[in-house]
Amino acid sequence: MKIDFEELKKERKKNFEERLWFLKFWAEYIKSHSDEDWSSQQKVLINSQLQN
Amino acid sequence: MEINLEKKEIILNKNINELDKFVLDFCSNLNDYVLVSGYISILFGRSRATEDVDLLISKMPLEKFKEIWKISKEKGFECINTLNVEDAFKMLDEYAIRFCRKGKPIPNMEFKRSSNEVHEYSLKNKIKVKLKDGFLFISPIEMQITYKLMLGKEGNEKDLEDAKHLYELFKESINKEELFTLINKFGVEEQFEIIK
Repeated sequence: MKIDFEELKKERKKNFEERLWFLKFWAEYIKSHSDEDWSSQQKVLINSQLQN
Repeated sequence: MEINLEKKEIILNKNINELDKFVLDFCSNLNDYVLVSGYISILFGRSRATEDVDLLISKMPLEKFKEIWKISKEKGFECINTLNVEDAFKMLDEYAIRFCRKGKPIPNMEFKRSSNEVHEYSLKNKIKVKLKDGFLFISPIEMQITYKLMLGKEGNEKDLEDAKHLYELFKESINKEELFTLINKFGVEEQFEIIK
């Protein structure tokens, strides 16, 4: 198997940029919705991670 | 969420999760402390978990530490590092010690004594976060963003993402002048350019 490290590096950079975009989107969501709304979604994620 | 950073107060009506419950329970018998680092981002909605929560506490005499130890034990917490209170107190001179719910190492509270000017700044300028089931003290948002940018300098994307989350959430309410002063002091201008 031939591994193209340059391509993997580019992919990682792109993925990081996409995550930064999502963080901005999620922060806007938090600001424009009630605390109960966003925290209920977060609760599902965090509780499941702590239970596993 | 009601943010009033001039009054050093944030009201957060979130539905608390298991991690928040753990933190509220542990901190309810503490006074002069601040929560720092990753948990601050999570408290304000970052969608990730963590295995430890970082807490800074003011310097205190052994007797005061013994009181905290006793109440923590009564509430079902134990120290992972040692079962001896005096050993734990000595360890604080050099290391952080960790508390967890008895028999459950995750999540745990990394309990560290203030030992430098950055810690003292955080304690002096702490923010009170009022939740439905209690309150917590956190380090100032400007310092949290800067500190996470500094950790991100070492290439840790998770820390840059935490900084991004806090910046996007609080950019309209933080003290920009203070943020830029801290960014300059910590030398993290390049990392700020990535997340802003």
